[in-house]
Amino acid sequence: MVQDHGMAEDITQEVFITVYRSVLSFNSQSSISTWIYRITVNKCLDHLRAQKRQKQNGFFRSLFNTDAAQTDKPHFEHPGVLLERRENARYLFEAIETLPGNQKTVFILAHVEELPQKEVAAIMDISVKAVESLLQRAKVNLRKKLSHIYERRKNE
Amino acid sequence: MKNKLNKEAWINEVLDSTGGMARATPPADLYHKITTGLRVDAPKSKTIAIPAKQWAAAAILLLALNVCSILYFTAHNTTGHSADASPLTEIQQVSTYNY
Repeated sequence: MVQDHGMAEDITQEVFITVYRSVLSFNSQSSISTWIYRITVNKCLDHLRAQKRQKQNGFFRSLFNTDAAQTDKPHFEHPGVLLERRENARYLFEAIETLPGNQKTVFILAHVEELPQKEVAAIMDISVKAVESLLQRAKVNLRKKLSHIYERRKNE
Repeated sequence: MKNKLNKEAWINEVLDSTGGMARATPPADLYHKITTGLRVDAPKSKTIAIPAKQWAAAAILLLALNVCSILYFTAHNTTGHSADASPLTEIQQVSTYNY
């Protein structure tokens, strides 16, 4: 979700600490894996929001400071992707990065993690119908973005 | 037309590119990082500091209670001098000493 190895490690540490501290308050209304997924998704979204705020502050600073470095995020490569699909996966993650928060979360959980829609609904605390709707919209948006990427590749 | 088919085929391939993907494995030092974080974040046991004035007040109170107790039991346990002793009790006490 965060497409950054360092941030992923930090989030993993935070998730384990939160699970360790909160395990006694776990009320078994969902499975423990659902509960941990939910903590993880929320931590990822918190980090992404903080990163977005930093970028916005950096943008304003750069308006006044010509030396301020504008760093572009390098293309993300998931280490688990099959070798022959790595290039295509890179484009997919580039497109995923442009999705709004909820669509991104649903697509990653349902399509990339291949979780059943019922579990995705439990993790995000929304209905199954809402998951279906978000997934549908995510795919439409991804197709649009990939269409632009295809044209860009053709012109390179 | 062919171009459009190629584009759609490519998009479908990209959307399916995460098929068969393995889970990412954590780096070797992540376990150590997590356990260190758990130790650092462990809630420390609370020690409540009691100020000296409160210690002194508690000591005085205990002392006063002890003095009162001593005075009370001394006043009530003195043989033959107790204000509550009845003549019958005194006779009974004398008789106890006759073996």
